[in-house]
Amino acid sequence: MNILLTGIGGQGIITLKKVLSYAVLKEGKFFRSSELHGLSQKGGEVLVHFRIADQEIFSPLIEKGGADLIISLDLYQASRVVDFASKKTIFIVDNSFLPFFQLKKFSQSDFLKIASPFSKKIFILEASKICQEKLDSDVYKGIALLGFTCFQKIIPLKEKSMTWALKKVFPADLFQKNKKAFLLGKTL
Amino acid sequence: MKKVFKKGEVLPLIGNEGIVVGALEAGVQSVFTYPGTPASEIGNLFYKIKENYGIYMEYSTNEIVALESGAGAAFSGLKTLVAMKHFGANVALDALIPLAHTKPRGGMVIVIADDPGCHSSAQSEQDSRILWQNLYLPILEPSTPSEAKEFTKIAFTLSETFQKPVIIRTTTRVSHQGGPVKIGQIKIQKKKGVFKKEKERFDTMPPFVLKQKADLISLKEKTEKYLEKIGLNKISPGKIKEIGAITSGVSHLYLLESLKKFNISLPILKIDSFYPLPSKKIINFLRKKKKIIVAEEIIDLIEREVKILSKEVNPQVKILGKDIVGLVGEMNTEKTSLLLTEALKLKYQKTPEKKIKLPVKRTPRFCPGCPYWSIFNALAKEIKKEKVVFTGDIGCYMIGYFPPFEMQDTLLCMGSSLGLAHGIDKSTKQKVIAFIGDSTFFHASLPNIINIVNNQSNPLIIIFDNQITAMTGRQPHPGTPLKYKTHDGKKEIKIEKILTALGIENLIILDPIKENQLLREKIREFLKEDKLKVIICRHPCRYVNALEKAKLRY
Repeated sequence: MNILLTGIGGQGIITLKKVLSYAVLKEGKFFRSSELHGLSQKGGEVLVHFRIADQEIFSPLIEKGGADLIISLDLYQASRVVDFASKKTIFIVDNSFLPFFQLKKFSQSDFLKIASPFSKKIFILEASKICQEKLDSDVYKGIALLGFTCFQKIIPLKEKSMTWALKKVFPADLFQKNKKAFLLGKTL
Repeated sequence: MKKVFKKGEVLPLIGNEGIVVGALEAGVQSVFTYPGTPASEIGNLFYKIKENYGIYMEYSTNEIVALESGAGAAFSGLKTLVAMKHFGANVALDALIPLAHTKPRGGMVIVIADDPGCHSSAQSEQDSRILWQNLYLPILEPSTPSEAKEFTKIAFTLSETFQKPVIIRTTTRVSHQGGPVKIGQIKIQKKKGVFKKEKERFDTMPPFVLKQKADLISLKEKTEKYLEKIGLNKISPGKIKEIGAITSGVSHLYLLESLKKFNISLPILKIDSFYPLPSKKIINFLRKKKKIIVAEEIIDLIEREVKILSKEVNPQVKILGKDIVGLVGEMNTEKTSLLLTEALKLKYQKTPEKKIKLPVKRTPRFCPGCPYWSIFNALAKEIKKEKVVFTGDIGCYMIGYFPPFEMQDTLLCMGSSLGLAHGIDKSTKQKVIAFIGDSTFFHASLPNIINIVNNQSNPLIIIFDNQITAMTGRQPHPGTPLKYKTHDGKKEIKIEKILTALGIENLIILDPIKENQLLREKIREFLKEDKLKVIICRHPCRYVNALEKAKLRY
């Protein structure tokens, strides 16, 4: 399964990758991923390629049109990766948009106009809103989206392995909040 | 101290972490580095675990300092690793070439990380393998995180066996590639080294250096045999006999992916050691082939060698490589598929071009609360940017290049803003403002500042001092104050004391956030006067403690 994780620098995309990595290994599966670091990620766009398989797979990169699942923490960033999508792609996108210098407004319908031709199904979810309400911060929205993909059985990983992975990635105090965020995925 | 890694455990690691674990398993004792993406995580991880494993690790002032210090440790018999990004290797090159002529007593591994596609390198796309023509040192190229670990161990053994430094060359897609890595037995060897005098080993005075050069070159054949014996540079068989592929690094993975997609099986020679190239193996591989695909990152270096070797054994063979995929940008599966299509005359169905144009890229911007934003804001308020030349440098202040500020007219390399400002000031009547960061100040600015004072030019130098090497992950530098958690308990060096000692009187230190009005006043002053002025804008990066050791988790 080819998963693209995208968002804006500082939103915790690399952390999502870590959680997925541990969960994959917990289940005895194989993964290969690719991430970028450095200046362009500072408040700029972040894109992580993450490929899961039962046996060894090769390329760390997903080909254009080759994503099965795109998880995006920002509507606009999801629209930036439609070249990786196709008629078999599922989008899971947080209903938020962080404006930037060249673009002040970007709506759900702007996104749908761009992405609809290249998707099997699009979920636009209120993860940041609900995390803000229930956990006092939208920083947990990525984990909530992961929870959603897990409970909807969109990714081939069990809840147990994901919880174990959260425990590996976060220290005790943050683990509790992130587990709550993960469970919020059920209600999205 | 608690050990971080447990034997037998399978962990999700990126290539750079694989290198660290490989070095630990080899029993590394000392580590020297200067941060630079895509190599930064090597230093970061060593920094966090050094006490746990009794390793001496430092962030050195720059890459040549790291390399020379590493050489000192290896000359004294300690197993030593030095890590840098590709441009760092340029900085270190002056020491690296003579070092190749010496014989370190401890194993010495030098990691150089290239960045095909310039994902995190402002300056240029550079292939560090080209150094081999002056170095004659083994260069190993892993393609996955677990190979990164294994090759680092091999590099240490190779270095000890032949008493030569060994280079590990990675690229972004190896350094930042994630995958499972099995942890092996970690060796801890806490002991002091001894420098035993032996001029023939450590001193490159002529004419003896020519004898050392002859020895160095003569190692090629022995190293080639050794690598063959331990099973590097493997050939995997394929069903098609008349076409073969030669691959290296991450390009190997892309080719395997393309083969799987087309359900084709080709014989593949995977080059693990760029130097020495397994020439005999290549020659045998070329026999009876009609076509050869070469898949490698950046420059067609393996391809050229293959072309030379083919003249001897099979001059008719057609070699497909960079003439098909081009010399610009990184490799990927699309490119290896294109190579296969050409070689096998396949109908490769490229993903149909999307009708829509992708929306514009979100450019990087200053983090909320960044002191650099306040500096650019003050500049934007006081200066019509058409009237002043802004020479830029390497650091987070490069974000000033993007809208809304767009204040960066030149960019070459670490420290170059000052040389350029000096040259422009001497050659024109224009006002010049040079930007330089705090870590960059220590890394590469002193000769330039001395030159500005000595040869008397009059730019405004703004030192963007956020007290940490922010862009690469907030590593400490010589000016990082002791009060921060990321400080390593070293002696803190004050930039202003250096500048005062150079006789710079027109020097102001201010907080660009709290004293923004004063900063604006000082900028106005500079526009009216005609003398050298330095403003140190000092305010800590908001994430100054990001590299805190307590945050390490596996």
